[in-house]
Amino acid sequence: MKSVLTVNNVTKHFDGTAALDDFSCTFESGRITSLIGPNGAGKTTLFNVICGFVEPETGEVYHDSNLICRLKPCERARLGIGRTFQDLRLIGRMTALENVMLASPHQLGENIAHAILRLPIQRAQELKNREEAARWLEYVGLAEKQDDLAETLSYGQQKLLTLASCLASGAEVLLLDEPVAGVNPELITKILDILTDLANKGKTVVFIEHNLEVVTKIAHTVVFMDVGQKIDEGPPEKIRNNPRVIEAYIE
Amino acid sequence: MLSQQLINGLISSAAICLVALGFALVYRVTGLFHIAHGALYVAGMYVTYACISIAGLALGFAIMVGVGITIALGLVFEIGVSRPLRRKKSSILVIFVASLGFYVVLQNVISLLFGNGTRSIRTWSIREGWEILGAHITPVQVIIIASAITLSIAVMIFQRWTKMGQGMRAVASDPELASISGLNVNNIILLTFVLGSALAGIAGIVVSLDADMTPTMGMRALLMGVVAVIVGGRNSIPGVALGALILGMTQHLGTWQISAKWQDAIVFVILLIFLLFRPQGFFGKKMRTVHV
Amino acid sequence: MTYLLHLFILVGIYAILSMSLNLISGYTGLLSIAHAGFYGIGAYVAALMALHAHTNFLLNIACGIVAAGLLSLVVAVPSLRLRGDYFVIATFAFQIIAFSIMNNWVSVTAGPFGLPGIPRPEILGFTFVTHIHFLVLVGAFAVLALFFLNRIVHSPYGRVLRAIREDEVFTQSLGKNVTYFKISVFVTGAAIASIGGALYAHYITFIDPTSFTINESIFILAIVIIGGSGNLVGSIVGALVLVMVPEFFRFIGMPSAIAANMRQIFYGGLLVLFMMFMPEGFLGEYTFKKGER
Repeated sequence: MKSVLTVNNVTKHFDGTAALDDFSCTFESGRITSLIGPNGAGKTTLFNVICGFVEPETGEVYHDSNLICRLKPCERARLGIGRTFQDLRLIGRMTALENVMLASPHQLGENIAHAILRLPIQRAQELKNREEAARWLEYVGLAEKQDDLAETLSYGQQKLLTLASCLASGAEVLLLDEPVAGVNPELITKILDILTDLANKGKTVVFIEHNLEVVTKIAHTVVFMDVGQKIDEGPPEKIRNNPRVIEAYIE
Repeated sequence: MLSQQLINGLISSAAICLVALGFALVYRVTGLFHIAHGALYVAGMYVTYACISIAGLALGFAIMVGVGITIALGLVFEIGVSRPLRRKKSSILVIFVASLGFYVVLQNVISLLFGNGTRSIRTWSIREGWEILGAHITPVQVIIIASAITLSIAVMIFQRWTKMGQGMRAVASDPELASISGLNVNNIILLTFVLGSALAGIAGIVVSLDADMTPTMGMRALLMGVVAVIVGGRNSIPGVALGALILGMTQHLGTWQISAKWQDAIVFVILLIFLLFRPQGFFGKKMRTVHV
Repeated sequence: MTYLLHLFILVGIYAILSMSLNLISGYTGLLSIAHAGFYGIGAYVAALMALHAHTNFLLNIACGIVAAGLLSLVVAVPSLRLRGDYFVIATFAFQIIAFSIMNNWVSVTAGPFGLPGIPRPEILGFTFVTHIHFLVLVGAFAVLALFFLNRIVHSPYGRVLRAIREDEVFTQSLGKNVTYFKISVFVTGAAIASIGGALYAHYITFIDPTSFTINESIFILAIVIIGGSGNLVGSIVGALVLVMVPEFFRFIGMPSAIAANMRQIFYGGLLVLFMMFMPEGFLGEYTFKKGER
């Protein structure tokens, strides 16, 4: 299991408070890691630092042993780092199918010259993109919704859609910010099965979660964060028994 | 001659500073890029002109009426357009476009009432003045410079040491938080528009005591003010004043060597330089380009 | 009757201007008040080349496109990397300064006096002289513009533009180089606007800076917004409405100068009213259920 994503000694303050405080962690391929911790612990900030939306004051981020600190967010995404957002970002005014087609990488038609010329090779690629997008929607169980506007989908369906987009982008590293929060129980099982399947296929799955049951079910490793620091790291059973975790979650 | 260009630069800087103050205030507190400010700037002059040449009022009264009506127009926009849109949670872009429409309507009403030719309220003062180091300066021009300095200081004091001013700063940095802390955000914004419009009116009137007026001159003046705000940093009054100084001086010293037609190109180059290298201005804080 | 043809020719020119601005502001969400500046660049380049170099009409258009394209880069590159506000400011600055240069660079543009006597356009030996000729010429270019723009917006490139309008951060997280899209769309829109300028110059045969002021930029934006952002056909409808309806003021006998002011009050007022009550415009935004072809 090679390490795919490494974060070293990252520190970031917002308005004087430390969102991340000398935080280090390694995420490996084929494994599911869960980040848990109270609100404000720095979990989403960590994702933002990895993706390049927030620049840390100190520390480095490595992807496959390459330093990626100089890269813009879109460049990091093209390396295969995919992400969903806590506030469920997607394009509401496009259909589910368009949302997933949008995510597909290396589209010739995204070059303006190709868009105008519309050569056969680009048209064929677009057709293939459409088929693949339909397949991803089927994989997450949204096949019947493919022509509906994303903003008309239910909350849980939208979460599935963001997952499908993430997968369609070809991401090998998936950073999922609360993928099952607010989703009804049957859908939760489906999402967890998908995540396990992805890890088995060799992807690096990292997800932020508040629900300890969910975490225990599928995570290989759990990282407990608080006030921007890594408080504890290990298999779910070990973390569950950590008194600080118990205190944070029973409260 | 150099000293004349320096004096002219100072006068220009003062004129720019006056426009910039009102604009920066509204922009800072509400986030609105208030194009209509350019029309308010012109409205004040024309109302003053009408009071003097049609109603025969004395200059002092005319100016008061001019500023008063400018404030009223600014309030029409805030209460009639901007506030309902805020209530509907419209994006600031929608309010901006409304401000564009408001500018067009107001400027054309002025054109309809007064025609597009130039008007003047300069005739009241004789072109006397003083000589300083070989440069000539008239009393009106001294008034322009004095107004700029006085008003800048006044706004700075208001913002820092009065309760309303602090309220404005609170709304500027976080309107939701301000509202939750019990501040009446609508009243604060109302006051902001009152002050901003008053400053626009005063700026226009003072400048028109020295130069002729046309209904469309507001845009160029506004542009200068906007660039001053960008150069200085919008959250800082000293910054805005500094920006105005740089702009005014560069224009005049620039044209000393280069022909006057390139004056505005120089302004654009200054703007581009700041956008490229220091978009937050001299005194602004660096903003993230993305909010996640 | 000739006057009606004249109006339709103007509708055609404004359709080209508004469709190209719609690409930038409607589809991509980049509000720009610089469009009259690029319109003016197209007009002045075409006029100057026709007057001094006696070059072919199509070459004039091409040169106008290149000039507008390059100048749009000057605006776009520094400002599109920054927060939304700054781009609008840059377009505002560009517009004011473009007008100022047209007005003050008297040795080249003749400043406020304008450039008269622009020759009629000629393509392959045929000279366009009458109103009918121009209606066909402008109409052809408008159809061409619609064709190109339609291709652009119904492509993966267009899909990314729409995504950028709604959520730029999300679009970046999918690996799209948002800055490339914003810059390329702005340059494309500016280039097409310059075509409108060249057509205008050769049609009216006289141009002066007053046709390319910030009020004009706001007018073109009004067409986009009222016709419907994100809808090319809406821009054509908007052009029809905003060119034809103010003619009512002339029709009822108002003197020309007053009619001109009333026309501006009409569209300025409409802009405010639409923002307050119908910000999506007449035709609104088409959301295509079936995606791209």
